[in-house]
Amino acid sequence: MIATIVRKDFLTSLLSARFVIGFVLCLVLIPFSILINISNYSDRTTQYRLDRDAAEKATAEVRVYSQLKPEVVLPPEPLSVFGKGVSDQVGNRVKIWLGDKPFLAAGKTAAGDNPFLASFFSVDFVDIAAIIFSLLALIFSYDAFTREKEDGTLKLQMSNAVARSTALAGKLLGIFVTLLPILVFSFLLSAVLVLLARDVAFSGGEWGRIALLFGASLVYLGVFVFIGVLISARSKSSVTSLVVCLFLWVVLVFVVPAVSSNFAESFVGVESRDNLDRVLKDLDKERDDRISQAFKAQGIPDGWSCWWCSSNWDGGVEVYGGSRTDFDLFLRRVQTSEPIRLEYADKRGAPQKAYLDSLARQARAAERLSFASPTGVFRAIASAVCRTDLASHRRLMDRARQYRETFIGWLRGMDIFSSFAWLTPTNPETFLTDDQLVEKRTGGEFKTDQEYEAWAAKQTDWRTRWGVLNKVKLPGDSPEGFPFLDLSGMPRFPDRPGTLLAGLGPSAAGAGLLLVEAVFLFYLGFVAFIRFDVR
Amino acid sequence: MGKTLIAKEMRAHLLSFRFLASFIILFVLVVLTAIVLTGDYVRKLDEYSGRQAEIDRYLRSYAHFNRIQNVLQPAQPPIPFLALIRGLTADVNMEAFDDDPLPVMFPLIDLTFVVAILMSLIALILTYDAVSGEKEEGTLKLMLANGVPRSKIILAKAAGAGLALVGPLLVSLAAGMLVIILHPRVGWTGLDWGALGLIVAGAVLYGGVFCLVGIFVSSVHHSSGSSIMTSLFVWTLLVLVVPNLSPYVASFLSPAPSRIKIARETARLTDVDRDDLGGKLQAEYQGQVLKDYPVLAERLSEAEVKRRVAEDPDYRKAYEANRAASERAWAEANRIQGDKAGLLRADLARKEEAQTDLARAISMVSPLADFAYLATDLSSTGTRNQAHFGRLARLWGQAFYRDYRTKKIEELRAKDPTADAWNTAVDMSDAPRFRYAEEGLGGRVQAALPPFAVLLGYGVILFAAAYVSFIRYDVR
Repeated sequence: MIATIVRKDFLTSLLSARFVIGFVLCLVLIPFSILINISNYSDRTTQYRLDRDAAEKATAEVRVYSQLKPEVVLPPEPLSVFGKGVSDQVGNRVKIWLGDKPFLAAGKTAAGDNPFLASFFSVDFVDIAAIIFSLLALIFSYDAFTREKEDGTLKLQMSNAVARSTALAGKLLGIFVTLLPILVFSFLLSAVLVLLARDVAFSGGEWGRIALLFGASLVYLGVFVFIGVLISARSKSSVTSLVVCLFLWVVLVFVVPAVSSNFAESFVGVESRDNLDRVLKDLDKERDDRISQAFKAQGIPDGWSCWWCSSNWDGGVEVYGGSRTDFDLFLRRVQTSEPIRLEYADKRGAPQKAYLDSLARQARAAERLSFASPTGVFRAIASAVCRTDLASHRRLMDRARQYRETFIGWLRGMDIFSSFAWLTPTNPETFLTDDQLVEKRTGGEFKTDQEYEAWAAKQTDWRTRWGVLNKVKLPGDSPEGFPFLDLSGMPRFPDRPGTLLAGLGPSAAGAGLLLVEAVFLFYLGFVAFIRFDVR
Repeated sequence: MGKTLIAKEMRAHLLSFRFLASFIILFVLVVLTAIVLTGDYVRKLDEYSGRQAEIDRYLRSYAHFNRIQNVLQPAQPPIPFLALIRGLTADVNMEAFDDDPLPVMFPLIDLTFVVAILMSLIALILTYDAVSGEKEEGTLKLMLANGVPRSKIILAKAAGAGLALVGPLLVSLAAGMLVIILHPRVGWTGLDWGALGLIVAGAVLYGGVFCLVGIFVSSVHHSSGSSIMTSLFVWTLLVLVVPNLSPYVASFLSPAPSRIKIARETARLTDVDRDDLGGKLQAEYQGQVLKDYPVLAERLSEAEVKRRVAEDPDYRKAYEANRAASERAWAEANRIQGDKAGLLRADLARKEEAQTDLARAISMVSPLADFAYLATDLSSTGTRNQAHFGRLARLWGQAFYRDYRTKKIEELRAKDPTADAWNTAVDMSDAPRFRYAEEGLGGRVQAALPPFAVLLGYGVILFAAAYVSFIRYDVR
């Protein structure tokens, strides 16, 4: 009996305008969104390759450890072809500094587009699925009983001693059998487009995630079918049922997610970015003061001079052609300043973390409020499945912070802050004294540094003063001739974990919620239909 | 007869469940939006004031020209309309994500959203069975049998649906405005009222267009079931597909280079290449000066230079010639490389403008886009305001960098010719500050006229189509 009802409903729907319209909508919207996102992904991949090559070159071409500042360049997420999430708005590059923990990723990949071309809504498969699948589900189910009641066929069916549970099961299966081809077609079409795309290659795990997305879409579709059936079973006419369904659709799909965001923004405060910047500036000043005081306490002069050197704000210093005294002084500076720099990186990390936590708290509140709608739950699950949700980005940034710790651990393991390799590639055994340097550089014209200084004090033309020191070029006076560091032992940023279910733990609760909603709505629909007055 | 028909339509709508549901949803959403966005506006106002106070402190105590551009940047103060319409600010400023990720993660609701999405759908729900529904119930046959002209019926249906739509909107908006104007921090001006009045007129026109879509679709269908399906299909196309499709079609038809690529190229031109050229020119020009003033070959410490500049007029002349040569070299390097970078930027701006204009033109096929442009332009929260802000910022930039900075540097060097004008702390409390003033209503109205005209055109065409279709309608 069920099969007969299913076949009847399926055939009726198949010949209806709504089926054709549903199919046409999917045929227009799905390829449109997938093709746009494939093109977007290709652009970001090109950008990623350029950034990665530049970062690898910059890391490989250093001669001293103090200048070694690896940069993590995050590849674009292939699954963003299905759901962009926040991937366009977060950066993709994280520089590893000693004096600062990775806070926010740099390099907004989406800034490559004309920002004034901002579209009115986000366009991706997940958004289209959230809007169109729910609309189709309601359109196919809003008149499940009311139409048959209006046509008089429900009365006929019931008079033939068909159990109500059988009629309900047949109805639901009929709707699902009608909607399933549209859903399968949408996913198949998207999969074909992805397979045909030159720049997109999904791994097995990623196809597995697409299967999970299909599962989530099916449950989401089911929830809206049950909503339609419930409303149909509680309405007196198809018109009333349709009106309620459409209003509910607007509320659940558009209003609840938007209002939840407005509420979260109003009622869950975030730390002020200006305030954070102020605190960080104060900490930087405090750090510089402490370093100065420590230098003073140890009798290290504040300024420094050298034959050839370069430095950067993060304590990087590269020195060539100095005397043993110069190198010793530089090393004492490093041994004093770098532990303080690392200590203050931790201190800077605390307010930065508090700021990020407050943003995450607000985003989480908005997400939880949006769970009042199945669309909110579906979007959260879908962006987690596509690894483009905020939590995935935060996990990536956590991994970047862990990588910094590993990198610093590796440096410490080599006792690098007490090693001359931190600041010069020159072999310490070849360091010369000031007198030896003067004698060699002046070709024996001056035997001691003191002798040279006494002569130089009388010279008014600086070129004369310096010229004499350049008579003989010594090996090791400049970076030329020194090889780049051998970084084969340096820890590398681990690739993204590719397991199928990685990072999906928090969305399991969302999936559970969606399933519970489906079961609950089915139960309510069943009860409503049992009590339905077919006359 | 006309009045009777309109009264009948109105009564039917007012007593219907769909009207009640529409009214409640509209009212709740508009009031809620007003409450939330007013709070948001006040928060932004506080943040803006705090930032300005911080800048004042900086200008008074330790400002110097080397880093001033990082601190003293033109910023737009929040305008009262933000309590009702969020506009495009959040979308355009993608950098803001790290400060406020919510607008990216979830679309935020405002009056434009309520009108564009909800009102259009309500209009279709009120009208999808205007003709087909009456046919199904048999009342259309009765009406026409009584000799009521078809023109009057279709006119009454349009008027009745329009009035049934406008009523809830006006009441909801009045309640929302009450929330906004009663807040002590919101200074709603007469100009804002004028703009709001025009936005409401646009909203009524927009709702009217969708009422006419519903009536037209209903008059070409013989069952309300198929009528609602077609109406929803048209709604999806006009509200969801066309506005989103337009940027992509425009970028395909009128491509513009990537901003990242241009930024990299201009950065190279104005940084590494500029330094190379500047260094070469400086060596060349200073070499010539050295020939005229051999005294400069002497290497002196900073203190010695200061002393000799103060004591020896000849040395001072040589020093100033040398500095002028250096400045000339760098100015020339900046000009040459700046011109090259400027060409690239101008090309990007030209192509982006063409692309944006094309995208806007294509999107105007959708009434939603028309209403969004109309509302954001009139409320000074759209792309037009971005351009207006850009113009004000450029004017301020000229006043600050060209006039004020030059004057201050001259003053500084008059006191001490050896002073490092870029890195010396200067009291800049008298510096011209950026003052944002909203564009006058005349300009905004002018900008809103094209979308207004398109909506009006849609209304006229749809009414004519509905009329023709109804005249030919088989009521049996």
